Amino acid sequence: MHSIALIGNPNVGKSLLFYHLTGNYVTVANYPGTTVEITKGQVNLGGRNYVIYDTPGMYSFSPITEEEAVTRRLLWELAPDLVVHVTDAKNLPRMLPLTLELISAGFQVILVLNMMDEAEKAGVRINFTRLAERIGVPVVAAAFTQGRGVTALKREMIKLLAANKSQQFFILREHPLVAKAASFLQAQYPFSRQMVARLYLEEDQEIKKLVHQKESREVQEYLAGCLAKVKKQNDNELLLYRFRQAEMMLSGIFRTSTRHSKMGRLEALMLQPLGGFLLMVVVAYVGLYLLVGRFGAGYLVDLLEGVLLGEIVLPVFSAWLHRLISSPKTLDLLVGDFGIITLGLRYALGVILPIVSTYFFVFAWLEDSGYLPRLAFWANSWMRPLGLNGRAILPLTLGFGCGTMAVLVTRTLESTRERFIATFLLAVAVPCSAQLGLILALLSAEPVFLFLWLVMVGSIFFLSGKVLNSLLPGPRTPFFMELPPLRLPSLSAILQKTGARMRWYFREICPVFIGISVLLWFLQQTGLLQQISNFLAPLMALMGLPSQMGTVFLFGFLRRDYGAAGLWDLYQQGFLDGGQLLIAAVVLTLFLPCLAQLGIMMRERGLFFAMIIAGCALLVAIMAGFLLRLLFALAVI
Amino acid sequence: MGIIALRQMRNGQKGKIVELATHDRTILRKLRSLGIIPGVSVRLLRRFPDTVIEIGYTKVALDRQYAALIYLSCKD
Repeated sequence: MHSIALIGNPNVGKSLLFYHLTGNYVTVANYPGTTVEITKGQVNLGGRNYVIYDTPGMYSFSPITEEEAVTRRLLWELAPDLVVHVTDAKNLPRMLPLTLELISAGFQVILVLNMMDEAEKAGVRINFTRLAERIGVPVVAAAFTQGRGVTALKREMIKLLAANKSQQFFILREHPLVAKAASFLQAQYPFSRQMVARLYLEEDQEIKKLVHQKESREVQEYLAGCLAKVKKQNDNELLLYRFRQAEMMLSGIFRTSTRHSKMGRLEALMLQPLGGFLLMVVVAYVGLYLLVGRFGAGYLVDLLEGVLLGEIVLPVFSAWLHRLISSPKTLDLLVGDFGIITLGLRYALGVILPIVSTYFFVFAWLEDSGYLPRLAFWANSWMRPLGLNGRAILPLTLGFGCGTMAVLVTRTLESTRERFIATFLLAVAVPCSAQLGLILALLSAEPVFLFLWLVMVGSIFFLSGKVLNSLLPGPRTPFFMELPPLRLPSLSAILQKTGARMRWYFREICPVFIGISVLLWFLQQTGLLQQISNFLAPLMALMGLPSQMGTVFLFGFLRRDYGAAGLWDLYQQGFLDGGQLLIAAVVLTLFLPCLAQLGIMMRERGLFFAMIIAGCALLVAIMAGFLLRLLFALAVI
Repeated sequence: MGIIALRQMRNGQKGKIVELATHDRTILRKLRSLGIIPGVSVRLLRRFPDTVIEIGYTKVALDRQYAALIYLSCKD
């Protein structure tokens, strides 16, 4: 089947276009780099079906981050029949170079000038007809947030897909050294020889290796000669060639107003050290404490788990099953202490669903408003001692929602070092929303405990970052990021995004929850649960906790949020006093990441590093618990 | 017209980039991806805690290590 790829800088509206074309909403955000994986969909154009790919942001053919490399690999391996380059119209001078690169690489391209509404408001004037003539590919003006330009784009797509690929071939001028190097190449590549030559001269490792495999020794010697020449000259010129070319193509047909965008008061506040801090406290208080903690974990959980499931649905269902099934073992598996329905589904639907969806709702709001990049800027100086930069704010903040999702998003960080540090912090000291919601709800009765919990977990967060930063080799990567305009998010977009994330979450967790119920049932039936609990008892005693907590930690490992829900149960049944509750809350927060997160950690960081992180988490948790217990003992004396 | 470092500029001051003081290609690429190349006009919006500049219609945040590489020519 023919294929289409959506390409463009981060945060220009690719995912929104994907939604308009396929009806499928992937996470779209006012934050660069939210799409970390390629999304595949289907689109019907002129009665024919095509495969369409939404890709992570890409600035140029010379990738800087892993997400960019992912996109270039897609272009290389799938060689799509049509590339739709989505750009932010008002920033065209900066984005047109990529259009030219795509054309020069030999792709059939449509240039989309998106966000025309914002460009017009800013006083930008573009002569589309002349632009299309100069670059030799169709140009479509659009504003996808309003649905503008979608029909025109579809028309152009149909036209190009029906045309013969070789018909539309526009030769761009190349840098003389690139043209020369290209003329030596003999083999066939998915990209044009010009592009391969350019990447070779930029010493792109992936391309260099390939060229060495495919070309004869003679050709390689010629190429080495070209490379030496490039190095002798000012190589900046090669790097800037497309920028200069784009400048020439836009001269006279892209006019900007002399008006300056002023920095609004709110924005200025966000970027100041003190203002940024106060704003963060307000956001954390309203977003995390009031909405996730009080409303989600308090009110909604009471309503769903307490009233709807606990008093109405489950008793009726259980009574019905008891009449239907006579085997006690089967009954136990379904509605027993660790039953699939009484434990697995009850937690999943009654406890986790309301908390996590409240968090995702808050997070979507923050993303779309454009606050997160400003938070990243503000946090940059705080992240410095931890060996991270402001960019790490996205995965870390998302980690308060779901650590598993957050580990996936560490891909947006530049170096392996940063990805490791961020993964470590996520595993050890960042509680996921379900955990957080329950802990907030549990501890909020005692504000002192809540404060102590915050201090304890916060200091461990900073301490482990500092230790890792001094232990790991290599430098920290400096921060750089675009600050997209601040916008008032639209409710429907936020709801759609929350829905998309919840679907992902439930696809991931429902099977895990049912699996865990079955496992626990098995452990209980065979008596193994008691043995594990006995085995953990001395550890619990070390931290001054009742032995039942062993089971809770076991839950916590299987699924973090599940463990938090177990803690809730124990507290409700009166097994824990105040001090023990605090210790349990701290230890559970620091404890091993859940099974799902561990799985993603192994996939993203490798088995070895995942195990190291898990081991450290265990150690840190037990030490912290022990320390707190000693502190309590001292306080009593 | 004098050539000064970005960090010496006043908030709100405009200038044209004349030089990026590095040969590191990765850094040059990053700056290029944000539109920071010689010949482009920028305006300084903030210097503390890190740098924010405006290029065309985009606001860009930069760590001090990167800001230190940028030299511009300014009118006054």
